[in-house]
Amino acid sequence: MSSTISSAADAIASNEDLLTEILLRLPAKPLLKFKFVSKEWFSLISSSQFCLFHARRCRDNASFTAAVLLFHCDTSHTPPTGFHVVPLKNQCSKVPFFDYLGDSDVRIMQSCNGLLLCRSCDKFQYLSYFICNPSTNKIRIVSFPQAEVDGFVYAVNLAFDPLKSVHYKIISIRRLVWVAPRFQIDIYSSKTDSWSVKVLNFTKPDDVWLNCGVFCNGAIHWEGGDRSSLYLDVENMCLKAMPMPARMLDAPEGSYGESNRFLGESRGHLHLTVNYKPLCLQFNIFEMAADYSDWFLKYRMNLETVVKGFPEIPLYPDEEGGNQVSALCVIRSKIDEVSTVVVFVNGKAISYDLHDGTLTKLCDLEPCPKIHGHQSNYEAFHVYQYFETLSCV
Amino acid sequence: MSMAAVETKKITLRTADNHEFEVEEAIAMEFSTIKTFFDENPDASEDTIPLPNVTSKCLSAIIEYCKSHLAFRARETSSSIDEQVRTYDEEFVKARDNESLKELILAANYLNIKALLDMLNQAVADRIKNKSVEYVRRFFGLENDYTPEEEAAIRAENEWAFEGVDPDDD
Repeated sequence: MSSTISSAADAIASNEDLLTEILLRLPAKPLLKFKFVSKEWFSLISSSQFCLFHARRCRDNASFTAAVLLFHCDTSHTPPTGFHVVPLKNQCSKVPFFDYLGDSDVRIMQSCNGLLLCRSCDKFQYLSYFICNPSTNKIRIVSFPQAEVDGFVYAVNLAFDPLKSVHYKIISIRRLVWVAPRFQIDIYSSKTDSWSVKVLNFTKPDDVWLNCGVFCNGAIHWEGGDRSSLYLDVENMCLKAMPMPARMLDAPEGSYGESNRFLGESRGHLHLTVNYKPLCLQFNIFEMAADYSDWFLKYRMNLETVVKGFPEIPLYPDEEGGNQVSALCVIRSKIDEVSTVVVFVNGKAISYDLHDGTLTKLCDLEPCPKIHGHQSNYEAFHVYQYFETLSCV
Repeated sequence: MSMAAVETKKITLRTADNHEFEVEEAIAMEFSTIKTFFDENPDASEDTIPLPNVTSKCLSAIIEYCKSHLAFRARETSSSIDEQVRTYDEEFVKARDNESLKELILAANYLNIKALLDMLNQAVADRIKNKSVEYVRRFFGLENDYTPEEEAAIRAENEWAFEGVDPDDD
């Protein structure tokens, strides 16, 4: 090797700032591999500083959007049939970690910026929760405080914002049996590896479902009916009511009722997507204002005509219960705020680009087993965005 | 307003291999290192500026780049201009081998040309992202300081990260 050839490489490799600049532009998977280039690279890439900067780049770089969506059947009575991995980009179709999870009775409860909160149920019906990062193949089991607490664990949520901190918080909500107000919050911080118990007590409206939290901009949001939803500001431990759009607000002409509401988050924006009867393929996507004052209509989406021109997606005639939108996910891109919407309809996953109106079929889904008496062919799914990240559990 | 002929001020740069380049002031000011120098020494405009860390090959490529980008910026912004900029950048990088890329990065870093440096860093990242660990070591001239046992253990634990690697053809 001539001296000039090795000197350029040396100069870059020994300039940590320059090397870091290059490495920060790589997605998580190659970074995990390149940790093993040398021990110096191992400590550089493993450092929490690097992980933090990398998470910020991921957020800013449009090509690092959610790689894959996962979902599984939400049937409370039968064990889940497993995970379906829906690739949004070709290079990330294999997520081997989930092969492992699929074997046991494991359910994803929440996906939060690359970390997953999962729950597993053993043969004695004993539930345990764990946090995992599928990219790094690491798991940490949640152990709840035993002393000084009352009642039983009712719901668990994860708060993790890699742009603010490499640490996460677990919000455990206990249901108190003899005492009012009925619910109590304990918080775990991964920074201190400890719990703060009985941080907040509250009662909630009956139809707010605490198990499906959406974490966005420092708060966990729990959807309720059309009037009552709650959100918890995790930093300040304040629980507030969140106004919801009234039924049929800005509904498209010709529709006579709402079919479903889907609450989700993408890049710091909270979205509520509503579709209507009988035209289940017409959607209004509302976005919550930054000050939580109200929802505003961000996009209208009508997939009727587009899907008709797509022979691979069967459309049933427009009658009630005909077309089934099982789940939906709005994904924002950083560039010009353009969004992609992934819709699970009639057993197919399709991706619709709101910017240019193009439709792509992503994959076929197997129908989930029917529960007795259930009307639809496809159960309600939960969709979780999956990002490749370096974050530590 | 009359179109008076404006005398474009030229600045002379001398590279490591003793070539002199005369560049227009506007282009030289794209190099933040030089801009800073002139901001601090306003009377130094007659002198030749030595660039001991930059070869003539690199400097001429960099001057081309800055010239083209200045021309793009002078035009009205539109998506077709953005497209042309993207194409230009891709072409700029595509023909260059790994060695030239590395030299250009060092030169752009020394001259402190942020946009060019970002673009080149991204190009290197894109080049290595699907390559093997061994390729990356060669690229950066690094020694493997893991023992064979350590490496075997690592691969076993992180097998999936090592899949889907492009062949090392260079």
